[in-house]
Amino acid sequence: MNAPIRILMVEDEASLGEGIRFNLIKNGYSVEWVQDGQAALETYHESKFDLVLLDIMLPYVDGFEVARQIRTSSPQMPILMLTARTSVDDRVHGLEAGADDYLTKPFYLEELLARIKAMLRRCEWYRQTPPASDLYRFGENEVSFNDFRCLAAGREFVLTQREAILLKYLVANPNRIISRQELLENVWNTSGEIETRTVDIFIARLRKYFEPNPKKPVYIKSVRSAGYMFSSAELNH
Amino acid sequence: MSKKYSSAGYIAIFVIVQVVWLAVMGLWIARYAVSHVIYKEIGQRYAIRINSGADVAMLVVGLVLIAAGIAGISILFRRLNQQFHQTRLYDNFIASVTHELKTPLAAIRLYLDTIGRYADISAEQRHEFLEQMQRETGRLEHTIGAILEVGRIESGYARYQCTILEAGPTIKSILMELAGQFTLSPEHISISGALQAQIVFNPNALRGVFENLFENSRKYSRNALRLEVTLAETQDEILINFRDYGVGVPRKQLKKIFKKFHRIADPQNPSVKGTGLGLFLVRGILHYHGGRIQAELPKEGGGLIMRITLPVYTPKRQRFFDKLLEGRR
Repeated sequence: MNAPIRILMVEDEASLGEGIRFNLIKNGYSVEWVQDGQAALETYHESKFDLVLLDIMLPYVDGFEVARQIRTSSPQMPILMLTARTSVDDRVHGLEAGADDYLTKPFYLEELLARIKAMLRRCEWYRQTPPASDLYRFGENEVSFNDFRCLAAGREFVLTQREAILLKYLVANPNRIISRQELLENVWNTSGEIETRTVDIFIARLRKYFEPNPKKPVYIKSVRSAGYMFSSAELNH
Repeated sequence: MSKKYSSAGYIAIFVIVQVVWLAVMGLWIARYAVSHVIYKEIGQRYAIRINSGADVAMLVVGLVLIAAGIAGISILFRRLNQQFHQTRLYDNFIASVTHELKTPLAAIRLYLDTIGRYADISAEQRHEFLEQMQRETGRLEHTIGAILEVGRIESGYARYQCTILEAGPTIKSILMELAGQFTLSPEHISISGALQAQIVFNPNALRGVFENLFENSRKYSRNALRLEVTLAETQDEILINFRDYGVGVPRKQLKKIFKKFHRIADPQNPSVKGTGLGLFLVRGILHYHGGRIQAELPKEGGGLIMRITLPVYTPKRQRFFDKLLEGRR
């Protein structure tokens, strides 16, 4: 029998935390629940988890900082932010801090479970489908889709899981217009509940990593009111 | 949110205005240095000669107008500054109130979904979920109540049904009840002093005042909540000192904490929850009943002292108390 999937849940509201824990256990997950940011970081480093469910307003260390620190040590950890904050600034801030997905309170139980499932399924899909060649080169960039390591403009870094999945999808569909909706469905595994703005934030991140000039992209181009199009450098030059 | 109103922008505008102003001054001085002989002649030709009362009156009016202009501009700047501050506080308030309303709502919805989703929930679990929902409904009610009450207090429409209360026994029983509600063990709360006087107060509002103080002390205590309450009275007033051993308040903020939406950012505990309405309400309720509250830092031992003063029910202020008792304040 496989070991159950382990979720680190960081939620300081006792009633909400108890309800979520009950549901996660009921759906076969194993749950570690902590109630503040400091404890979250300590627990995270002490044990191994498959997904982090993270509130933002937390005592001692807030959720943005927790996400940032987890990202530094584990770029591939799926992080789902769960919060009452709804302003666009907060969403952008959360995604920039390293969250892969964002769910606002009050949420529907079905949606929470579906998002978790989608995030885990996507990780699994990623693990199971190796790219034609592990090492992918475009222009002066080099990406290893196995361990998410990249070399761009002489700088070495590691992509987050969601960034890697997005890039892999773009690379797999070159020279074709890909709509935001298509990306949401195939990279986020959701259909429209997340704002298309989320896609833009992730595209902006990839451009920052790989484009010589992110304001004038040559690899990941915007196609006005249609979406994005990926072309490798060879086709451009 | 705070980015929108960051002080760096204002400082930049201030610096630019100063630079422009100095440049204009410089130009003017340069121009004067070049053609000062002509200016001198013009000056002599049009020199002010005050010969009559009318001239003096004109001069005075001119000076008054200049002074009024300067005063107007300074008032405008001060108001603008206040407005920016208020807007920032309001933004914080919206963020905290959103949190305080949405979190209980999220819990209620989650438990409803949970009960609806699984057929095999035991009666015991179902009962527990219902209790959680009831608690969260209470919390929602409390937050909504506070927001509405602030509106009433501000607009002067707040009315409390007051009665004459025996101060000592009433306050002690409220404190003991709250100690139970906040699960304070007897060694963590001490109540000393005795009161003989009577006060005129709405019992629920009085409980609300102390509940807010308990809640604040708990939120801002890193260790277990510990409280000391001392009661004393003079001929006209009763004095209640409510002391906790929490993180206290920076000296500069002692007055500000009673302002609406004001919340203290504690770097050690950045996300203490609340709406920033509690102490504003406490002060409003006490004022309505003729009382006062101020915050002080203890000389030693840390924490915070809330010093409450309430008027004793005496015939000396009969008219005031009659109004309170009739709900006409």
